[in-house]
Amino acid sequence: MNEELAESSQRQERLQEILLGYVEAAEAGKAPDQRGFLAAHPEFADEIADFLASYQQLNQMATPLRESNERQAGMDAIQAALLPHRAGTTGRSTETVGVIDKSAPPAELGQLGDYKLLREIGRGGMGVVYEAEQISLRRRVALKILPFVAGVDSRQLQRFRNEAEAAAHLHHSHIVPVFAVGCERGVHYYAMQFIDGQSLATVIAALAEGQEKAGNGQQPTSEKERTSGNSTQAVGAISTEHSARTHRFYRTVATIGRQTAEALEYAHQTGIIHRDIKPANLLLDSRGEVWITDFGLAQFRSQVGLTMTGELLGTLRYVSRTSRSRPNGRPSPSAHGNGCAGTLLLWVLPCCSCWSASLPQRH
Amino acid sequence: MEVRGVPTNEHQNWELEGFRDYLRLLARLQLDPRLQAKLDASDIVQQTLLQAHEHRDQFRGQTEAELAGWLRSILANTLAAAARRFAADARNLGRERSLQDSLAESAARIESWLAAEQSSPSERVLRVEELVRLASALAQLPADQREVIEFHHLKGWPVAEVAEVMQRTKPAVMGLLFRGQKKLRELLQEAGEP
Repeated sequence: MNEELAESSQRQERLQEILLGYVEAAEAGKAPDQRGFLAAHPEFADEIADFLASYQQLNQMATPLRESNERQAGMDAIQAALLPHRAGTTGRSTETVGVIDKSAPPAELGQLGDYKLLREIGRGGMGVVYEAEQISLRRRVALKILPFVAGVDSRQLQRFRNEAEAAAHLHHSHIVPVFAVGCERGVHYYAMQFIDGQSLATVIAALAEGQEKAGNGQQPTSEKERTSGNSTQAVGAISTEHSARTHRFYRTVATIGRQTAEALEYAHQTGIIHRDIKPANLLLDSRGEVWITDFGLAQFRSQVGLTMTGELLGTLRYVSRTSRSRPNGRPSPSAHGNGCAGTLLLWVLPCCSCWSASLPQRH
Repeated sequence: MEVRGVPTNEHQNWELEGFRDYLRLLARLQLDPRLQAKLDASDIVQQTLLQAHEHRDQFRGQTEAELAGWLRSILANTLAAAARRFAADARNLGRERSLQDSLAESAARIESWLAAEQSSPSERVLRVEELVRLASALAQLPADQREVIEFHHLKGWPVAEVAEVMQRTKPAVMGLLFRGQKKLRELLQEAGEP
């Protein structure tokens, strides 16, 4: 009796090994020919035939479930397989757009539709930004991938697309042009012109850092700046002006404010409100020109609510008072933008030494 | 379990019970493993069915597939809200960032799943009945056999990964798969022949 039991358990183990061989080969894309497989193991012919029939039947039934899993996993897959590790993300993570992380190796990033991802250039509350190549047109773009993929329902998704389309109609020398908005394998993205530069948030951080080092007579060179090549020219220029405490520094700050205000004014004439003007959304290119980015996205964030980071619509610190004071959140467009630009200037100016005593705390 | 001929709006006596296993299966597939420890799929489904019952006058469909879709959307909202609550708790408790991220991502994923569900209804119509039957049969399997089938077939994980998650050897996983599939097929055949 015991011998019989042992024999049957040995037989069971043998069967499991055989089936494992089949399934693992199939997983590797090299499923053995079924008839040949059955013929190779005549002693298990019944069990194997039964297993394979059930296996295929279940596989078919599960397909729709797996497909929807795969669609939703689009973002996961990108996060897991394409992204460099998340180390270095600090509490200021929402303002790191434009910071270049060269410490991560430029691994094979993969492709999303017409776009070949080249490297991650930043991440914030609204998603991860990649430098990418639009394959069909062979042009460099900044591809923003929206982490919450779709909103709660298709109407909200449609509203997001409408906003993005409206933003795509903006043509201004200080607004980052939107090339496309789309969805690929369930991943929603937003393609913009690639601006070789840094965000004002980075610049402000560098200035603050430079100020600390100034006492030691050191040049304000952070790790980020040294590695990012051309794009730091603007920062470098401002830093120099700043540390020399020249009039040119104030002039530069004023120019940033003016260009921002002009671009916002233009957008408001077109009836489009940015709703989330803050240093992280203002890019400075290598010539020191300002580019406003992320038009049309704040609206979307309001619809998905607190999904990603718990941030409110419009990073509160930079929302203009005109917008804050109205309960319905619909200020007149130009009042809104002017307030934002003014608040921004207040943020850049403290970086000059005379204000340093009252330098606000950044989180 | 009778799910065919689901009553439409006019009928007061409609049968939601038949969808319980189906919704539980979907909830288990959607929940992040870290969330599964905190959120009981059965509780979520109970809330979902209660809500559906309370708001039954809002259901506008006629068919079983439409009813299933409506229930799925309630389930997704319930799941996403629960995941978000946990994300907020984790933040308040100063839990590590990766947990917060993982919870927030779960909530986002559930919403995107719902959007994907709604965007391609036509192909799904045919499958609902089949999936409801599958879910009922799965619910009758021993837990370890059911898990192997859910991980391998429904989530599409390779055997090696299933073995790792379940802390068993790969041949042992194949044994569970073999027995689970066999039993499941019998159950499905019984259900298919009234």
